[in-house]
Amino acid sequence: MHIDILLSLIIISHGVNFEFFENAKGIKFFYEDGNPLSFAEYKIYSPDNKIFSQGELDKLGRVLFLPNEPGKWKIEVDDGMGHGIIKEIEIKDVKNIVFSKSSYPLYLKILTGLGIIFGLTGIIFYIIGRKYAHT
Amino acid sequence: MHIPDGFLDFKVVSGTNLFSFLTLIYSIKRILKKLKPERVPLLGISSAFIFLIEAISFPVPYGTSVHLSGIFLISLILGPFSSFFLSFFVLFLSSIILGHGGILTIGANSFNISFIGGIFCFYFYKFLEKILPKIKYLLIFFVSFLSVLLGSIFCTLFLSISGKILFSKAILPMTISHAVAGIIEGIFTILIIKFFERVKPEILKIEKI
Repeated sequence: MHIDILLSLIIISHGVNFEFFENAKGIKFFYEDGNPLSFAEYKIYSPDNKIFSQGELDKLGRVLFLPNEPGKWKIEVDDGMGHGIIKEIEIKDVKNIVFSKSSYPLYLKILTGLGIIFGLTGIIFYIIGRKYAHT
Repeated sequence: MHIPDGFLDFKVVSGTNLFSFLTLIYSIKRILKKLKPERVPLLGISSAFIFLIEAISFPVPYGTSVHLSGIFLISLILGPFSSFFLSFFVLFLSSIILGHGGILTIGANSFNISFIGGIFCFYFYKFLEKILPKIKYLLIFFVSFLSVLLGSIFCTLFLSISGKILFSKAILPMTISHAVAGIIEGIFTILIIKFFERVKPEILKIEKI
């Protein structure tokens, strides 16, 4: 009889409960070709620079982001093959997390890069050309 | 192969940056010594070409994404030091504009991509060409393939020295995924060389700096 009571107490004390929560924000990581960073390792650092959460992204390259205090959070993702990202996210209100839309589309970035290259080429061409014209 | 900032430790970052910046200074000196106005547009177009093909990634096995580099191809056309300089410049631009690789890791990235592909592979190809002149295209394919593969091996090495990954665990997926990219790079290099041989052979006779 005593053993039965003791056993049931142990079972209760080792019980695991759960509850659902809503309104969680998630982050998706993907390569430039649109493919997800499936099962890439991630680490989330709290504002005091301590690991808050770590593990692997899911098959679709996603992870839930659930900060519990305002400040500068950091997310590090590494696919183990030299690709990865370290992203800082400023959280002002944990109950109302607002993500800023990330950057410009790829074609605009490429056009910017090409513009810089051709612009610099033009400048160098002008300088070298002048130098040659004088000599 | 574009290692982002924060993925390498101090000794790897400082060692590779020192090496790459010394190589960059030497390359600029070599280029400026013989720079003529007519060579400038070619340098500009080549860097635009590298920037463009490095920006376009495609998926490969092991769930990762790779891209062509074109560095060995440019070294065959313009020479090893021009190729290194252009590649270094494009890596810097890519890190700022595209977010491909970090600013502090530019030394490691330029070692893996620019030095291996541009300088080492150029001289290795010239060495092989002397002993095996009859199989030129096969050599171009092989060295192009090697430029990608060696770069990925060094990338794995740098990441493992920095304690980011285990070399023994990462080397197989890294080399297999980049071997696929290497094969495509090899075919691509041969196609471009053959195209120039047919359409504008004088491009291939430009002085190699």
